[in-house]
Amino acid sequence: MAGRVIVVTSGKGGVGKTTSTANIGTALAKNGAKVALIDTDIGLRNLDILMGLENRIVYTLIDVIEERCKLNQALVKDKKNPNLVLLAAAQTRDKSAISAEQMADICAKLKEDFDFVLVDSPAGIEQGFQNAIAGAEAAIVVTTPEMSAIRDADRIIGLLEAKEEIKSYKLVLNRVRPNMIKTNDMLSVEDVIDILSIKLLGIIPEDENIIVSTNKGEPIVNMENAKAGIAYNNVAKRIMGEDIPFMSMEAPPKLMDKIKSFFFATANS
Amino acid sequence: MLNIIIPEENLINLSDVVSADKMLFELDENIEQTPIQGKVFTVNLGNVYYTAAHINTLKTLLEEHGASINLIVATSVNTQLAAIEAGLTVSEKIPEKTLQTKAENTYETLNNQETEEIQEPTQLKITVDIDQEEASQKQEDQDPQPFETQDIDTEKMLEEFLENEINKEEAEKQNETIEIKPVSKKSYSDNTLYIKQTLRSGRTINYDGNVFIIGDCHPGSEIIASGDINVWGILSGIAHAGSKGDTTASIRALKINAIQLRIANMLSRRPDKLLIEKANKTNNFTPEEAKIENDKIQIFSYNY
Repeated sequence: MAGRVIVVTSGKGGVGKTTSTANIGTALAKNGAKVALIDTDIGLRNLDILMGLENRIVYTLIDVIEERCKLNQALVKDKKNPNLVLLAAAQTRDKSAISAEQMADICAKLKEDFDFVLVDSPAGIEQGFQNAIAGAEAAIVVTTPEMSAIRDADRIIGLLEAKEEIKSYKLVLNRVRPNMIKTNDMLSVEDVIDILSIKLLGIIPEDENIIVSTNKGEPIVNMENAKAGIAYNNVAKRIMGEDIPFMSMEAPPKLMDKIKSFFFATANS
Repeated sequence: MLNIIIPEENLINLSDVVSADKMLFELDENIEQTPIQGKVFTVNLGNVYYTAAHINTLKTLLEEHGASINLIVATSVNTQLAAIEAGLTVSEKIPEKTLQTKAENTYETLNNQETEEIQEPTQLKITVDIDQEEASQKQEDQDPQPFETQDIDTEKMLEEFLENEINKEEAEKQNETIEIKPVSKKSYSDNTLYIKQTLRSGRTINYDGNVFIIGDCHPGSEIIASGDINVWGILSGIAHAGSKGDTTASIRALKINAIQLRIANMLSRRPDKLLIEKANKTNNFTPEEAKIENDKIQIFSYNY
């Protein structure tokens, strides 16, 4: 079985790389795929906390590379889904502890056993980022509709384009607020795509439940009726080849608008 | 240029060097002059403060020229701690072997008592007072915190073991113990690393002996000791006592809230359901002790 290695990256910090990795990974596994998640943010690992697997980690990526354990010993199974595993980063080391070649090697090994290998990249464009993209053949660029995040995403897309092995890269637009787009306070989805000229993979609405899910260590796709969860699930389905229409980013009409439209309607008739 | 390499005594004497940058410069120059291929050196760092990064650079430099370090001699406690962090053996004095050649020349009488003292260079007690002021400040901060009691089961078990991991670890440890001779408690009983500092995420303490920490151990920190681990504070990181296979080792803390506890070749983890991410910083802790009983790591409230 030859799976796909997908790196989740953004350039800027705090836009939701790790959240996206955890949720897309969990959603892929829920839809029946075998998924491995790799945290490459050595020294500042978070993916294990989001997945709620912190207390199960014995061996890390570094232990595998330095041959203190076998690869499958370091894979931590998810609490709910046995098809989902996590390879955690070491907390007590830094990015220079591994090289791009070693990372590519591990991705190649995992690819044999899993349908999808999702690599969570650290922020920045230094060694950590280079390691993260080393074994990848596709990339998900995460950004928020803010100029700073978009500028950084543009830089990242440039770096991804320069790397031959990465054949496709798509955008996940995170933390979108329909209300603010409507009042022209936020860049719309179309604006962002115009600026970045990149294909869209998903739109994730801003959702307070994300905070709850992070603190609980339970990905939001496992919560019922959470907007962001549904959006991430759609992203996963699109990755698996299904044709799912994008979520409507129109805000539900407010009461005043309803009354207004009622009056206009009666006036026109 | 100072003459710092003494190949006959296997000694690199850096005690006359005044700063860390000078140290590397001098050493580099000396290495060019003196062949050191294949030698094992005792490095005397004197009273200058070096960080772990400096010591690592020193180590790499020597390794590049085919030499290695077997002992660091330093009088600065911070340097000693840094050297331990860099994984080297540390002493306060130059060991007897190197000293005696000197002693015969300079001092006529070196009485027996003194030699006995010098014979144990690795038995070392370290006190680190890095932020004493900050620590006491913190103590003050903690006190006025709202008074809340948390119910602690007297015998709280940290859930079932990760069987696979344990077996693998066990197998690994058994291999180790065949190579290294089994550790008796006596070998480390009076060897204690004493740290007065809060251990934050990413910090590792790896010590052959007991570890005593005054302060909290935050999640993401890691303490590995071949003896006991004592924490005068809340233990929230990973603690591994008896790392060389001593099953009688134990972990004590004012509050055990650890993500994982490991003793010898056993491992237990914090239950998923138990949401004690944040332990309340009250001032009525019941000290707790984790040790192996009935082939399980169990936590007991500690009272005499």
